[in-house]
Amino acid sequence: MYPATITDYMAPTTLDECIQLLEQHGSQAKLIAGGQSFVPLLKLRMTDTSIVIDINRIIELQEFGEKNISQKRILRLGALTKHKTLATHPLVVSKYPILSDAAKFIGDVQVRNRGTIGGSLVHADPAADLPVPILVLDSTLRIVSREGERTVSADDFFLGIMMTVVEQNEILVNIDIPAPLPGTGAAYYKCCAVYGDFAIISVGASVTMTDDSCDSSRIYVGGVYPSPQRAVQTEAFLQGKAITDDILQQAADILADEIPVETDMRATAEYRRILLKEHGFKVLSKAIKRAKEDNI
Amino acid sequence: MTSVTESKWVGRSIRRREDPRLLVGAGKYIADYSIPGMAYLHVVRSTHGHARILNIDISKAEDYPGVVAVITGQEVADAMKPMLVSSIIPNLGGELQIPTVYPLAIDKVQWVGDPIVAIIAESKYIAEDAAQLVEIEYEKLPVLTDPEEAMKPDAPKIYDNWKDNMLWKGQLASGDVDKAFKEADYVLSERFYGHRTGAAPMETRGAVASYDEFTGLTIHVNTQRPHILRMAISQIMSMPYDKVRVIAPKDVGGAFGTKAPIYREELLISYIAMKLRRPVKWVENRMESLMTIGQERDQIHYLELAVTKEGKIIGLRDRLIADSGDGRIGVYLGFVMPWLGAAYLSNAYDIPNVQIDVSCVVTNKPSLTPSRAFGEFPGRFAMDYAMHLVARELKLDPRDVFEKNIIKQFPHVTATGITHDSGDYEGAFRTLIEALDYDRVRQEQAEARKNGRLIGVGFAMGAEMSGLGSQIFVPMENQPGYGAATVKIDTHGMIQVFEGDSPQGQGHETTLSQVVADELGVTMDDIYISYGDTFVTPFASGTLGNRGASYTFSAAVLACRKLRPKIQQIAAHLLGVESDGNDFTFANKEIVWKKDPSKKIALRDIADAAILGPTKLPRGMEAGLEATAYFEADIAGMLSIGVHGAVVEVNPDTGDFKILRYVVVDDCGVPINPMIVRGQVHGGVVMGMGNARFEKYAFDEAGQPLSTTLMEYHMPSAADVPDIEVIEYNVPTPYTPLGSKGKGEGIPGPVPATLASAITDALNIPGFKILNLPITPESIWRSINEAKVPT
Repeated sequence: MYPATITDYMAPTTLDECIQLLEQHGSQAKLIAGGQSFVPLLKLRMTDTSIVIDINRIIELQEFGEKNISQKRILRLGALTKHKTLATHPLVVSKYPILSDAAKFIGDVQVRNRGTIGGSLVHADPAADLPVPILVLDSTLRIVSREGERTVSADDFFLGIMMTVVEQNEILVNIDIPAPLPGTGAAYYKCCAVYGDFAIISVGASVTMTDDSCDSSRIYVGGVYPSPQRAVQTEAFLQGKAITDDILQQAADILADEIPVETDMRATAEYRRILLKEHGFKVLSKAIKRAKEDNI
Repeated sequence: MTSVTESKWVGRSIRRREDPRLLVGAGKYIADYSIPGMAYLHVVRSTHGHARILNIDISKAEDYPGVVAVITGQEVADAMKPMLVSSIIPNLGGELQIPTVYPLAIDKVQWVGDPIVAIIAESKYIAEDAAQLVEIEYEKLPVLTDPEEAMKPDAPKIYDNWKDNMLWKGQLASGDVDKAFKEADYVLSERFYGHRTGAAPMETRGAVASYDEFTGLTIHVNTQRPHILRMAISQIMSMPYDKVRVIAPKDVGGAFGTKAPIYREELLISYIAMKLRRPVKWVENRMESLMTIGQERDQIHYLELAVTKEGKIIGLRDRLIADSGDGRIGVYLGFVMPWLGAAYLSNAYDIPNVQIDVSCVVTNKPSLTPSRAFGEFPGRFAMDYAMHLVARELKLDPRDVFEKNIIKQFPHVTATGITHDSGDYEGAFRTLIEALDYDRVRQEQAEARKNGRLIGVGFAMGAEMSGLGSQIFVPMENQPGYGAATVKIDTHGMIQVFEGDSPQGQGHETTLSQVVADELGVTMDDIYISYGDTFVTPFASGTLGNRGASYTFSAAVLACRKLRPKIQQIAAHLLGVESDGNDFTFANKEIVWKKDPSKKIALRDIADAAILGPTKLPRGMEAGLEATAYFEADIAGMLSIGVHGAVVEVNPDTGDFKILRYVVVDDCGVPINPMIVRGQVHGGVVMGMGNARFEKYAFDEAGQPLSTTLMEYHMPSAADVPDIEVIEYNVPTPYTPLGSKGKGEGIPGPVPATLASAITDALNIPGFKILNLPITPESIWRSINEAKVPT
């Protein structure tokens, strides 16, 4: 449980410097931010990284706040945004509460104080918390390399278990989240064995309402393989419907049916469907409640 | 009793003297020990559950820069006897097959994690680098992970020279069991399973060993039993006793039983230090720890209760099958825990006719190691939950079934030979029922049910051993059961207490000081405690099995009382008064003549005379002020009771449940420090909840461990446990000088039956049963479905 030799450690202060180093050192180098996933991998010798590039000093990765980009209001989260910030910052808690729903049950206080959103998304553990709300909120991720930059929608970002579109020579810089439309509410819930653990199953939903009717929704499920799954049938079912508990119950049934679940150490597939039904209903209810509060 | 001592310290919730140094990070744990010139040991372990070793290539590892030595099994075996020597094999009757074991595997591995190669290097990093260069060629053998499979006559054998896979087989029986079952109105018969779980102490195992031919071997090791380890090393390595010094560090980060056995690594590091003539350090990493120690419970009980229609249990029959793992640890061998679990199975109940057949079976897993509630956890679950099932079947209130069966007269010897010394089990049980407000909970339950909410109440008991005396220990472990302590007044009138036990967080520096302060009329600040070093402390069994407050502390009391007459004689002499050695009081660090309290002298002045100025002593009196005492209780065993109760709410759709209340009524005789007792109860309940609900040492069919990090071995945090209400119901035992008993051993035991019975009560589904641990939402949900489907 002691890491192999790290031959070099560097701590660039600018994004340019960082992508230069990535280009130079290729597959031997890995980025470290909060280290909450990477350090365990080093200790377990599950990575052959010999060069560590510490990105904590890079100012371009530290943006946090709302701004207007081409006349659209967004929340910009630099890749170094800490889980703690997402869990507790008043802007997030009041306007993007699905992010604090998810962030406040990641690991424990120490993990949340160090762990970053960029690290979590790029690590892409299928049972991690932040991918689901990032997908639900229809976020855009900005990725930079020496060749230039590209933006990727969250839906295209995750490729599989611990795999994303970010290439060896690239770095995730920030995540842009569109400000919610009027009448929109979103919520997230994770079922897990003990506090702070990875998800057995997690559900995130955003619902846009006009009065009692659902205009549109985005629903994702985490804790499934190979990465969070979108519940398109459930979304289609809800669209245009006047929302009642009965409708939500039906939606939860559809959700539990449409998401492919598997058996692993944490739970059987069968039981995951039970949880999906239970918590699908609760999360949708909560999202709708928030949407209605927003309408008022 | 000699003269009056004011009880100024015992019974007060004094803050722990240990905590300031621990809170500022100044504790000294094994990892904090360094010796100049020290090298580091890393152990290469088996990656297979059962395999022959065909070849080990260490050449690349040997050539790796910074590697000091690479050592394989045969070399170590040649230097010592097989480890399971007579001083660390218990005698429990029955049939025992003793496995041959050396520190490193030689030609065969029995579990994933079995030590094979030792790498010694200049740093722990280099040692791990080199470990990756060791090439081991295996021939896989069939893997046994299920004890019931391993018991079958045609099962492959784990030890070639054994007749089968039975480590130990024995019976505990008394009374006429067949008759009881014939006469019973109702017989409950169920198979219960308590999974593999136990302890995962924050500090893993570790040792620093050094050797030179003049002083011999010195090993610092975070053991619970330094004196027993010293005996074992001396015997196994054929070393003169004066050349083996075992020292347990001042601070040990928890053990819960896991640091009580004699482990292979302890012998390995001793050998390496001798061979290399260099100090060597080994600190087990978390993964090794979760692969090797803390794995207890793991028992199947085919339990039958013979019951009258009034709910009186007249007979108990049980077939206990334990998955002992490889059974190759010193002292416990993976069968002592299940054996004791069987002995304590009838718990706090008066059951005259009992027959328990115990089969401890070897499998391709690590040996069971002790974890508090030693061997009892699955049995407590089976027994107490079965009593709730009996009540349901007979349409009786479980409260009445418990009351009917609780032991009422003391001392009481159970059918399996366990002596319950004293107490008021019935009173403790009734206190719990009152604290739960049982009748009102029943009303609330009915109300809640109307609103679709399922609330339930449950309870269970645990009569827990509080140390075992020599009557038990000598025949069982070839070791004394007495408590031992030396009390020595120093030149400055301060008091140094030596104990041969070795605490791991129990707070002896605080509680032992409280005890001695009262006996000698001083303050806690006048007292310092020395433990851990076998060259300095009196021989003792170790800190385990609830021994401290019952045995060791009683010895300290007796040692003080041995000193008191001499102190009084010196006082009388110095004051120029007549004394029969029993006419002074001890208070405020002074010795005061009862007949005329103006005649008094400071303890410091007496110490000065006795040690620095012996010419001032009465003519002919021997200098010095120290005494060693050995305490044996005048009874075969002492126990204390804990009664647990819970109110839960269950979601029948998911099986998830919430604990609304958790109450413990606890007896530890006289609590020396009530705050520490409450801390033990809280910690024990949390451990019980972790074991009952979340924690599981899991294996796949190939014997690969699936819970080697704390990401998979789910220990609860504060957010996962409810508020725990503790009610003291203390009945002093007449068998110790202070009436005190130990507290810490058995607390987790009643947790699973408490939760299971509350959940079952809440659901109120005929046929619903919880027969397997852990109790998870999914397992409850499954049981609900099984109960709903008629079979």
